[in-house]
Amino acid sequence: MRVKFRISRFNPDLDARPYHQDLELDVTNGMTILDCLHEIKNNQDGSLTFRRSCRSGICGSCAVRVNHRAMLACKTQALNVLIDGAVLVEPLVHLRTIKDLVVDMEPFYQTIEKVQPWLVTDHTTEEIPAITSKEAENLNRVSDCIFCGACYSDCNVIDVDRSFAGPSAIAKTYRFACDPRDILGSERIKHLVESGLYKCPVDQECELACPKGISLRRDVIEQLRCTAVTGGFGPLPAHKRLIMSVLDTGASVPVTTTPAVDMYKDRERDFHGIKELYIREFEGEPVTEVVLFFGCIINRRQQDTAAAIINIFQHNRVAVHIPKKQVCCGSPFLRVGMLETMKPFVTQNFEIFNTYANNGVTHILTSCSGCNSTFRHDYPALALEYGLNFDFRIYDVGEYMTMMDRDGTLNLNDMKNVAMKTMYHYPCHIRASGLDESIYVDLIRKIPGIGLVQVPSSGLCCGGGGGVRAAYPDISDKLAIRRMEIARDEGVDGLLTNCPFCILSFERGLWLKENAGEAMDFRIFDFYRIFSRAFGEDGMVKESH
Amino acid sequence: MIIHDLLILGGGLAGMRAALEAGKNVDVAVISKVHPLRSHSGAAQGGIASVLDRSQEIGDSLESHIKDTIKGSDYLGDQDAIEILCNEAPGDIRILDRMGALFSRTGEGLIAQRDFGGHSYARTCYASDKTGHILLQTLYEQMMKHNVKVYPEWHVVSLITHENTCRGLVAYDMARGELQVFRAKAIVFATGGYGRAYGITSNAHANTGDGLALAYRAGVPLQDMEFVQFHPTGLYRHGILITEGARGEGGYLINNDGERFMERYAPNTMELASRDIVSRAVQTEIDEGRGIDGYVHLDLRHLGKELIMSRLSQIHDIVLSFSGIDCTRYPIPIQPTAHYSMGGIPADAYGRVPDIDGLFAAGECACVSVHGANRLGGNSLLETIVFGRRAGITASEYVKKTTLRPMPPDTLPLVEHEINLMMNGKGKENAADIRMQLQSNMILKCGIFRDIDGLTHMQQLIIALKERFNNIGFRDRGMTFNTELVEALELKNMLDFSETIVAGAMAREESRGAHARTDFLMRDDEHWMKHTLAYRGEQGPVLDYKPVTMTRYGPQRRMY
Repeated sequence: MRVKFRISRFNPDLDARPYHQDLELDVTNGMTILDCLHEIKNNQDGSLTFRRSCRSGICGSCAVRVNHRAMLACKTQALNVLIDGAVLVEPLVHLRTIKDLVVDMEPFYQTIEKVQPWLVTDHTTEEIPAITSKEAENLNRVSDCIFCGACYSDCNVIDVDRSFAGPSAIAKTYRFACDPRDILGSERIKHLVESGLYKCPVDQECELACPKGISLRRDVIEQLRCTAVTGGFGPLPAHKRLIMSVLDTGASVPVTTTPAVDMYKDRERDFHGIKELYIREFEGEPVTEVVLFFGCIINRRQQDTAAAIINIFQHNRVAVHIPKKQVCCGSPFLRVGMLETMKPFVTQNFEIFNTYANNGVTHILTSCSGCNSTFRHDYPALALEYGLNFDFRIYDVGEYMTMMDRDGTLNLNDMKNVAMKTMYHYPCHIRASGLDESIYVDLIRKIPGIGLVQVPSSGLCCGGGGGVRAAYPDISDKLAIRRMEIARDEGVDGLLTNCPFCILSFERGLWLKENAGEAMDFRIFDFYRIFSRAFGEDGMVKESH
Repeated sequence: MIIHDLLILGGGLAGMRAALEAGKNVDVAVISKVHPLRSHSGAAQGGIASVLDRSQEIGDSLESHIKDTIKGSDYLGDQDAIEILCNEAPGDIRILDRMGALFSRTGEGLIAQRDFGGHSYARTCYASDKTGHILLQTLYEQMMKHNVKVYPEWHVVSLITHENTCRGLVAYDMARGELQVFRAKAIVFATGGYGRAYGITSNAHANTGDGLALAYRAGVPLQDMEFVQFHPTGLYRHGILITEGARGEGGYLINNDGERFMERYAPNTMELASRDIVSRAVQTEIDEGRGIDGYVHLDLRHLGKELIMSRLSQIHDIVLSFSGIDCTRYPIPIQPTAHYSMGGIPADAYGRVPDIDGLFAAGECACVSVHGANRLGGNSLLETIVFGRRAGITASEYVKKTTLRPMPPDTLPLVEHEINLMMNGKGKENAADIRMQLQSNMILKCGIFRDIDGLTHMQQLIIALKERFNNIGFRDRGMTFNTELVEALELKNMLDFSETIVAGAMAREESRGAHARTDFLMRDDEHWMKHTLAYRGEQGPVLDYKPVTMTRYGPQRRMY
């Protein structure tokens, strides 16, 4: 088919600044972006400049940005990335453009050189100690890195802080720090903590960009944070304060206003030994019964969101069990590498979920994307260590709404008009749970009146995850404000999202801008509150103010 | 003007190994047209052959490795060099291991070894299916550790010799857009193979045999150029390599009748027969109508998902990304692909190049010759490491007892003039079209099967293409990162050395190893057990020959 190529061009010998050139090309099935660039260079414009060599995804030469995302041109099927029959090809960012799609990779290579990327062994012995098959495999996974720079280009933190080591250099550190033959081990970790191991908000943009599928967050960064904790280099002082507070109060934020679970005294009851709220305010039989786990932030800071979720379920005839005891999922510990403190959180939540599951309420819903990802991905393995079989069906509330919609049990008729122009902010924890952006975008699109602007550059971060807000508030704030400014430039009223951490981050960003006398005229919309409003907010339980 | 004692051309495994060795003693720098991490060595998948203590337990021996390599070479390999290759392999593997190369391990933590075609025992050490990548990483780590000077993305335009001695070179610094003169006492060529002369190839775009053309134009003959190895399993239409390890792990080759056809060609070793034999078998099946739309199947399904994902994960990824096929569920469409250049710059076992003093060569660009008419899998990574190291040692010793010789006057203006003429001519010929004509015809006329008619046609075509090349047009006339210029220079190189492939193939009236003449089906030891040397002459290549070095093994019929 005929495809429109918009390609970033810049010839330093002729041009003052880069510009976009529009070209057309017949693209057949199986052609990669690199094939297309070659076709253009060979037959349309010999001056088009790009790097390439192996064309089989192993040399790492041809990383470019396609529709704003970094990837290898040779590994990208052109017909898979078209947007309205067109594709945008630009050079990597965070590196100076030399010409067209060619950037100066030197600063990126320097991030690697800085980590002393070679094996240091004790030379007093003739033969170095052997390494087991398992250890070699473990290091091998990370050694897939081909230093193409795609992660460096898509890294949110690099964008606001060039002193950050970056994903590739961190992976290279892992390669040696976790090699039992290397004698620098702990020194490497110490150095890495100094060069920003805790600056990553675990947003996983690097993983999306990585052409070799390296699991940078879980296999590299979080593993290294565990190693840092074991070695006494982590977590950082600011994390320790936060963690003390969780250990003291059982939740990641202290109580300042009445928590959501204390707002509905008349619905309290005992359910097989568990104190819970049971909310069923509609006529007739419920469509289904669910357990609702709010998460610390929604329970203690975003009670309106809690009320909105209850409203949504009442409107749709879902009976809701809310355990009064909402124990922190432990995510703040995990994200900074404190694995050994997880046991009480896992066992307590296991007990609660298990009681419900044993008594017929098997659908456990969380309204916090961070808790959701923790329950789904971290709990099963941890629980196994503690001798528990954590095998519950955990859903995100929005995911559950979509399932109901597909079953025809979500009542989307006569929703009220909610007039606004907004952009959906796709939380990294939602993605970490394996939930696609389209689940939420499609739901939002069903609300009458909403104008949804989605730009392909939605891989932007709120800055609120991974313990960055506690330890590096500067980075966190810059990321939040940058995210909002980019959305604002697309002409929307505000960002719409469903992660309590994102909302906190953005609201703080707005407050900072206002204090600096640069108020943004921008709003943050909560996914559930918008739905509650569309459903008329006329459920039996009102939003509390 | 830049001065170093020793220059290494090429930053792949052979080049880096030479640089690391020479860098211990002399002032050395690596010049490479791509960053060393982008070198095509990194694409080598299957492994590096070496007899180790472990393989000796299953009956293997250095002698067996030597014998297999000689047999694999179809008795064209120089046996003294082959003995060095095999005998020094274990020591070099140990050095790589100490550097931190992540070899796959056995349960006991020993270096694991797998079966490979043409080898009598499981002696191929590997790192999953990315052995080249891991070794490239390891050597580059050592380059950083030892602070070896690299000029990345400098394309060498001209080799400067005078009175048969090395003087230096002129290189194009792509990022800065300048031509620079380098003076050096000696130069080690480690510029890799020439697979890009062929339209279906496993080789990277960069593998245009530049070093060969530079040496050839300076008066060095090219040796055994007609021997081009086709790998039996290239991904259909792309030519991307599907490692021999896939067959080593137990993969089947299946034709359109569902038959494991290797039964008819090599009943004992089946899919693991020597590469030339398997390639001809695959091509014969396709040519005789037992293929499936121009390909046959490589079937891995019976190996199970777990084994595929752990030991052949890169293959799984490649097949999925480039053909959209999940090889745990469907067979892989494959065709033979131009893979390895047995021929190259003649070099002795110390890396010394005859005819010009101060030139050395190692790795795929060199013809030592340890591979003869056909290379065994696992022996090419080994060659880069063993002979890279040896060339590095010899070159540094040479440099220590040599003084820097003067550069001929007007070197830079002459090269500049030549490039200006090319870039600013009024010609309208499309260089990409000339390249395509060369590549697609080399496959057809000078590929797996050859005959006098096809070769004669190819010879004339190259002359015509060279004529057209003199009138190519340029769109990009600036000097900053001009890839149009680089590609034109590469094409010029390919046109030059391709003539020697064709000339060597036309003259060699026999079939041996990778050189299969349909009009001369048999190996002819009486007349042709000798190396081809192609010198540059006024009217194209001038051929000469030199004997094969034999130590202990006389030629025998090759059966697998």
